[in-house]
Amino acid sequence: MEVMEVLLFKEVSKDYASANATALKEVSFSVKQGEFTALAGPSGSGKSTILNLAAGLDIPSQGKVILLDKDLTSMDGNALTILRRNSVGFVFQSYNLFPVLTALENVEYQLALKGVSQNKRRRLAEAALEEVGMKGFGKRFPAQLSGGQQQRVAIARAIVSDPKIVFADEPTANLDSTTAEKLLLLFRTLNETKKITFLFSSHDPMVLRIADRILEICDGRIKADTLRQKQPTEAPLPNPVVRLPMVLPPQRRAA
Amino acid sequence: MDFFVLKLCWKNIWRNKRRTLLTINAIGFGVMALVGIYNYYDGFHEQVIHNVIRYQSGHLVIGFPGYQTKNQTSLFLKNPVNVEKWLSKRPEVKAMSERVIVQGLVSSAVGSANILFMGIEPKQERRVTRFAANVIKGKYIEPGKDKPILLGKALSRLLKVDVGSKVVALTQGVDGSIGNELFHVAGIFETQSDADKSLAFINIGDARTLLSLPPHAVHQVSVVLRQETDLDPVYGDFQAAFPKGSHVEVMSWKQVQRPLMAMIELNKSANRLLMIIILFVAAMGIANSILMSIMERTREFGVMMAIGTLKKEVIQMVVMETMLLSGVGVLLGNLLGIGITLYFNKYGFDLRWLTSQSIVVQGTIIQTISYPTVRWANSVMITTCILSLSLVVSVIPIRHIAKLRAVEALRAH
Repeated sequence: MEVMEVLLFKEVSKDYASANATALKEVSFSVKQGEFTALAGPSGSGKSTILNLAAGLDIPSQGKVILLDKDLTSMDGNALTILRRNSVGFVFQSYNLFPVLTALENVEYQLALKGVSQNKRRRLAEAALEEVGMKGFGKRFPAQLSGGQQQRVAIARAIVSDPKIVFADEPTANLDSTTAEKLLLLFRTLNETKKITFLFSSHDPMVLRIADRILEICDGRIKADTLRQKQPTEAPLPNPVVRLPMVLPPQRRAA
Repeated sequence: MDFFVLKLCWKNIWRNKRRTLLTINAIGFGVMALVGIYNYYDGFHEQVIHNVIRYQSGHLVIGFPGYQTKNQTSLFLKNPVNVEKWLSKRPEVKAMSERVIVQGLVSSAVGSANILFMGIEPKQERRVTRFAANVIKGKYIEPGKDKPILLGKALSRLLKVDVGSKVVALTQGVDGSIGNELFHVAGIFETQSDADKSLAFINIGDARTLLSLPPHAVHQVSVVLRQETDLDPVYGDFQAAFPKGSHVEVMSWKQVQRPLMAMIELNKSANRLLMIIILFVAAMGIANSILMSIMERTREFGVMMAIGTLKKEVIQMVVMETMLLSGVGVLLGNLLGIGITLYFNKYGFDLRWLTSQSIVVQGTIIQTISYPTVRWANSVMITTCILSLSLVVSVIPIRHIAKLRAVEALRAH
């Protein structure tokens, strides 16, 4: 059975006229449903630009971005926002929870946007928090949570409305290695149990070890596209203090 | 989004408690001041108008055309019987009083003064004006042959006369003759107004004699209505019943007391100016508070848009925050303003500590103690102004948000 493509980049370029710089140069790739893909590369290589373009937050200078069979380049701002609301989840590097809302309310916000009724909203938000291991923390405000706990709440917010794809921009960058490892296992579990497609940007070796596929970005181009064996959730991750070289292990290469 | 957004907005405005409290206090104080001042002046104006009606003109003044403006004694109604018959049929008319008004000299053994002699039918006048209640010595005049006269306190001091003393009135009659009569001081009144030194009451018959007027002649028929709201219909009907050419002219107290009305208008204009200043200050406070708040949250707006919040929903939220902030201030201000009004409505607001003497406008005493009245219309108007202004100042954050791009906002610190 053919697996559906959820994201497709067709010769996408992105120039920043104000900085007179090119962030992406004719990048083409696709992400299939259920994939756990990492965008790897040094800072400034174009990882975040790819995520922004993939989510319709930015528009390419050239080429096409197709998300869930919709050509983002031909959609207006409101249509893009509605698409993100209904089908996309976001996890940010610095969590970006709303400080005035409790953990539960932060998760509820996403459902409130979709007009879910109050009771159902609360039930779903509580379930999502439980799913990310934050049961009992619903009434706490972000400032009362650790970084890892905040990121878990952010993940709950991202997955609560059953998105087709979750974009995560450096989700472990602000976390210590132990917390990061636990979070990555959580991402992996969600990917396996809920069949959510994940697209990460990261240069954390742990992320790269756990991903099924790694797109290595360098100077705005895809330098390598590597498919790897699915990593079992139970398998311990490598010692987090051991930093892997940026050169990826020569495993099965995508065609 | 049901009450979720409202809850979020409410929480947002309390992010910076000190700033929010300062803004709410500024709005609240401004609204309190406006509500208090508007209510004070409404009560004050009501009092002034009431005094004018009950001490001077009544609601309507009827006379020979031109008398009210020229004050010529030769302009009199020969016989007001038709007028009085028409008025007595109107249920709105509470009382009426015939008057003959004489400008002349009053003299005693030690002094003299140029005053206005008001010739009245004492029984009628008691129901129209309240001078009878202001008699502090002796008694109100009654019809009689001894020619009684009621003097103001200041005038009696000037003439060095008391109850029972004799004074002489001297004036020129309408036929050019000199009229002079001896009067006995029946009583002394005090209103703490110009009337105390420039007005004396005599019987209408004696006034006619002084001016050599015919037996039924009057200069004025002063009319008091049961309600202020009866003024326009009675005025209109009277004009229809006595059209031009009938040698009868009716004027409402507003026409007679034009300078007083001008003063009231001036007061209202000053209040409007004050309102504009206070609104401007409040608007600056609101704009500053909201702008500071949204500038601090640029990144958060980026997150909202990234996770699926439409720009118009973000704008609605910010507008709602602005309205909530103003709404709380307005509510507080109204509660305080109305509370203060109710307090002074009961106990009075005394201006004696601000003014060393009585306030007199157009010869009318204005008591230093005023009783403000709660006017809901004032609160509604001020509330509407503040909330409308809040909507206007929302344009500043709206412009900021409208220009935001999620991808750029996410990079903000």
